[in-house]
Amino acid sequence: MRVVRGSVLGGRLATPHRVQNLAPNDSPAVPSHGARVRAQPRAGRVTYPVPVTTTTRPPQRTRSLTGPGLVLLAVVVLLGIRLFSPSIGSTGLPDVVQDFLTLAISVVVESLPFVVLGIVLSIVVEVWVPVGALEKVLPQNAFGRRAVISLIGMLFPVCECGNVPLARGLMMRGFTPAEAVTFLVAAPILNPLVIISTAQAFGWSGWILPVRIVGGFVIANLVGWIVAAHRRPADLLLPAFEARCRAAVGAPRGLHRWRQSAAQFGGETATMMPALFVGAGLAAAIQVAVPRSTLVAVGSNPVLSVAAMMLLAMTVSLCSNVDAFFALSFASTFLPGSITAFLIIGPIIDVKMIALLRTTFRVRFLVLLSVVCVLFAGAVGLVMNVLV
Amino acid sequence: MSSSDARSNAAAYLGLGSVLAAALCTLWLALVGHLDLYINPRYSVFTVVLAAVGVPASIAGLVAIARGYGHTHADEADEPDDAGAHGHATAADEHAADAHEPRPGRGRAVRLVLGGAAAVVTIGVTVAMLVLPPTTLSARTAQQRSVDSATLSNATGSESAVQLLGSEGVDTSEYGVKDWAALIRQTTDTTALVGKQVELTGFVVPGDDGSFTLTRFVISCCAVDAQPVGLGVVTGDGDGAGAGTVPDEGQWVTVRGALAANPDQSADARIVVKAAKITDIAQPEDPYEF
Repeated sequence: MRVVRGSVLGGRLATPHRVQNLAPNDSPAVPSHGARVRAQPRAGRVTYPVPVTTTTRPPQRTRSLTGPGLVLLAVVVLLGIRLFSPSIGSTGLPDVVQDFLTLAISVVVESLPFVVLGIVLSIVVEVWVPVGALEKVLPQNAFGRRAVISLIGMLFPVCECGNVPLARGLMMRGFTPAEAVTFLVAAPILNPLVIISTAQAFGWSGWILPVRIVGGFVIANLVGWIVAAHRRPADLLLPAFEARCRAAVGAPRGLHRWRQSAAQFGGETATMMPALFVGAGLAAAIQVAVPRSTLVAVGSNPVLSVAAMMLLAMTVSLCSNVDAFFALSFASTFLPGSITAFLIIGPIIDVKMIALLRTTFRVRFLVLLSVVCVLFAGAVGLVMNVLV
Repeated sequence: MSSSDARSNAAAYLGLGSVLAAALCTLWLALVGHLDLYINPRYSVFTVVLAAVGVPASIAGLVAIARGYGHTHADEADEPDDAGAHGHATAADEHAADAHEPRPGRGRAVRLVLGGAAAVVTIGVTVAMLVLPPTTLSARTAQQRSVDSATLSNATGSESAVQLLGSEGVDTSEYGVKDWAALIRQTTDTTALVGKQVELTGFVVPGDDGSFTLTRFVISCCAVDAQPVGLGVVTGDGDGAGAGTVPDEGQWVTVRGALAANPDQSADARIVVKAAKITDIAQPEDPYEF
């Protein structure tokens, strides 16, 4: 495994400009990778290592044909069971298990379209948008650049789960981690669908909508600034993803864009889908295990209610396109600041999002993001509770 | 090479297979009209359209693997990336990633275990999605989410409810549990409501002696946010069939009766339904309100 990675990386690193694109100050990573490559006797070999492949090379072909067939067959058989014996499993499951499954499935059904849309958009950004087209319209200045990027969400009406693949696509295009993170935090709040649904729920007047919009913009640029100020922003990414970006940035575009798109769809779903299912499972398990009444019992306390609504947002893992309607049902008993804190933190940090973000970022980034966002949303909520 | 190939291919099979399964399941649910068991109908079109995109896209992905197009890509998306996909951050994982020459055996084992666990969750939920019949949330969840407690208000329907107070002529026959619950909660002068005849359908969450809460779940987005709303039903001194006995928990019933002041003065809800007739029914096609 390591041999392969070393050799792929080693081959790619021969062209230095690819490295500099990822992040200006991550050059220390290069010698260490190089060292690892040099340490491998087979570094630079593009052909398959002989010992491993002697037995597997011929079956490889059949396996790669049967694998997709088996997947299709399994799906068809399962659907067949459903169609031809509808009564199976309709009784006998305990309520807890049944509710867990219902909740997990509903999260998957709700999120899947956004994940698919996000992956499709990320493929568009990575494979179809010409090199330099996006970069040309962005300001040179780092702050201005991030400020504009945080408004890109206006063009992509994707909620948070779709933004993860899209942010990955941006990084593979050569955007820095700080810029991708800015987009990731801003887009689920600053997008037309979310603004409209929030306005439908709370109206254009009042403080909740403007504070949500401005708060989303500020927190995104704050997080982006913190990441940019990090000693080595690339350290916040999972090493494998970083290596993949490094390889992808500046690599020649393939001639077969459709093939590349199809392969990319496979690669992204391989990463995102297990994360989505784990996130859905966690959200459902928390819903089943923790009585919601314990959370909402503190609605009128200005401090506790902010904490309770933030905790609710982080556990319930709603899509940002619709969370305003859910929050509205708490509006009569929770103070507006608490509702706003819910609406700011919910799109950024929740159990489903953490599972999805883990596909790309290291734990230290998730901790940083959580701490910054909780402090920010909490502060906004408290100030609003006191002043409004 | 071949082992990493096999693993990244397996990961891609899992991802593409689960997209395909979930997308087909969504389309099938929409076809038989059960999509509203999971999400609010206002998102149906969006969901169906993207599920319809997901099916050919995942099949194209499978074809790409079959023809070997995916290999270069799959090589880059190697293990730690995939393992990270599984959402569990562990100290071992992190350390392995930090140090340039870690204890590869241990980190790898942890990743394999976590990856396996995530695969099990993915396959389990996917299979459940395809094979098990779609169901509603149970009365247990309704209780746990505190039916109609004073802290919960209602998301929608408030405008028509307020309108009702102004004119006697408003047709209340179409009002569901949600509408009445919202109306009762918003009204300060509840005497205007006493005596109104209602016929409502919901499921039973048992209360104290001879009373229960007629409950419906209200979904603003998907089943995860389902909020139970309910009306108190008193069965005690009715004289119709079924009066005086509380149906089983979770049983769907149609209650006919009149609104009345709550005999229990200490309760949050000041208005209850005094049941004249309670009929057990099968779960309706559209169990949720939106």
